[in-house]
Amino acid sequence: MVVRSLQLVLTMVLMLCGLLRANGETLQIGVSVDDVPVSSSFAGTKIYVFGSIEHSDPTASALYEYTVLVTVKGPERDLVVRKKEKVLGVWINTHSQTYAKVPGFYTIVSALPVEGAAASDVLKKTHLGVRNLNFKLLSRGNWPESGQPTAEFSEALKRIRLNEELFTEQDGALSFIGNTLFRAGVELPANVPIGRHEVTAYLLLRGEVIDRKTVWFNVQKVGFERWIYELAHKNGLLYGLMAVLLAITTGWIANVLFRRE
Amino acid sequence: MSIYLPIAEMSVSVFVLFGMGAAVGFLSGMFGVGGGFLMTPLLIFYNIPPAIAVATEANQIVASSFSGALAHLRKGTVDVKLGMLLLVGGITGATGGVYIFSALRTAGQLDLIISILYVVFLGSIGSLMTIESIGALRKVKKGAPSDRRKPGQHNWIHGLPFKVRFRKSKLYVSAIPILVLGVLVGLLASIMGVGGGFIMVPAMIYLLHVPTNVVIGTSLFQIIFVTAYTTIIQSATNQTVDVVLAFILMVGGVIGAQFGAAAGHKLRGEQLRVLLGLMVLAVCLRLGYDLVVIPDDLFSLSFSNVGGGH
Repeated sequence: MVVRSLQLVLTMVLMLCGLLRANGETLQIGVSVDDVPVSSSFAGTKIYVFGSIEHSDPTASALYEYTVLVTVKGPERDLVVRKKEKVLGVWINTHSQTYAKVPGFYTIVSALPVEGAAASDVLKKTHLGVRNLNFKLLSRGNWPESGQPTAEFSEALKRIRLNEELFTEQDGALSFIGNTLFRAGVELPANVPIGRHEVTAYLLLRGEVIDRKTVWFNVQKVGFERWIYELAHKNGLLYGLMAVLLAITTGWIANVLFRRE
Repeated sequence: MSIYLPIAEMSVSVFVLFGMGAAVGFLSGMFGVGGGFLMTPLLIFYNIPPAIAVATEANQIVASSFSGALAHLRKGTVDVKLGMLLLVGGITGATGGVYIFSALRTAGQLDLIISILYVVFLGSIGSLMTIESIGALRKVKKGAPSDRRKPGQHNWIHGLPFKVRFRKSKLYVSAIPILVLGVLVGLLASIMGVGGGFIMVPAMIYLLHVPTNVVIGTSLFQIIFVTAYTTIIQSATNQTVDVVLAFILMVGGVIGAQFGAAAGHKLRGEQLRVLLGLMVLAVCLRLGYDLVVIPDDLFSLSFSNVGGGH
């Protein structure tokens, strides 16, 4: 009797848990490409992130309680934000702040606007969405006093990146195929930075993140562009000599072609 | 048709760049000037980062000055000894210039200094040229012959020590002003992306009294080496030379220069100089306006480890 009632209680607890915490759903994702080649005619491209929710609860699915958000983060670098001020009638960079590890590219792809996916504190904690990105202040630059607000600098950073389309929010670019399969189309702009990009998919159930998966793809220059870029950065001296040789040859050819005597 | 510039890391229109190269080439062919002082601001107006515009322009000038110098070498209108001495100063100046360039870039003041230097140089040269040539035009109208410099005039420059004899130029002058001029032009080449002909030619004529027939050839001769050296050093230290950009500009430039030279024969010298003076002033005003008018965005971004690669 005791064993039976214990079993009953346990089953009820498990069911309750199931309602609140679902039944161990996991995400599986993949990207349509491993490498995005950047050649001389590169004008941006679109890649697809595919995925499925495994062990999903049919009831939750039917009630549209699952949300998937996909983020893509480009290679991180330290970034200086400078502010101009008028000095003797001329606009001059005066103050600056340096932020650590700012992604060169950031996008969040969702079916509906990101703000609706979860409570703002959850989004903030998980750093989802451009407004919830936080960057570590590396140095205060030449800011005169210690107590100055830094918000305008990080705001400016985001605003400039948004204008350059290097930070984007792509609402509506994610869609479900059936109840558990989804597909996210990620637009990569022409100025997408070179390097390894991190794709993370977040699975949310009733506004809580219950699983996440990360995969990667590379944006890399190919062919001539790659050769030029690598030569310039790895052997600048040789690159410079080559540039001069090219100029001399061009000048010489022009001189021969257009000589009028 | 757009093309991706591997160093500037941006997509630009080939036709716009080619057109810019051809237009500046046309003007330089017509007026007999290098064109760097017009090309670099144009590139900046076209949103090419100033650091890349300056270094890449030095590379382009190698092509245009080489093409021009070949013609002068053939005619024998190059004073190689004088050119070499200028070059010693030029290399020194360019080395210092690239160092200053890197330091300014790290401090976030490079774009500002480039603009200010352009406003100062273009403003003063543009005004001088315009005033002088309008004066000359008036004289021609009155029927008076245009001024010719009398040979044999001496100034304080000719009292300086360390005199060197230049057979080709029939000169016996101190090495000091030549070296100083070389250093100045080298600095300008590396910081502003200009050949420096607009400083060197008048300085050689009015200060050193170099005969006019060898001035242009000698100036071009030394510009080849100073800009070539600048290209190599900029590549090695700042990685700011974009060969793809430079090549498009070179090709546009040399083609434009041919038509410009033909058009130049049809116009009179004074008229040409008024036109060039006004054009230089226009570029100066535009750059100056950008300095004083409130920017679209007070904030700007840059990578903190510039020049360091990865």
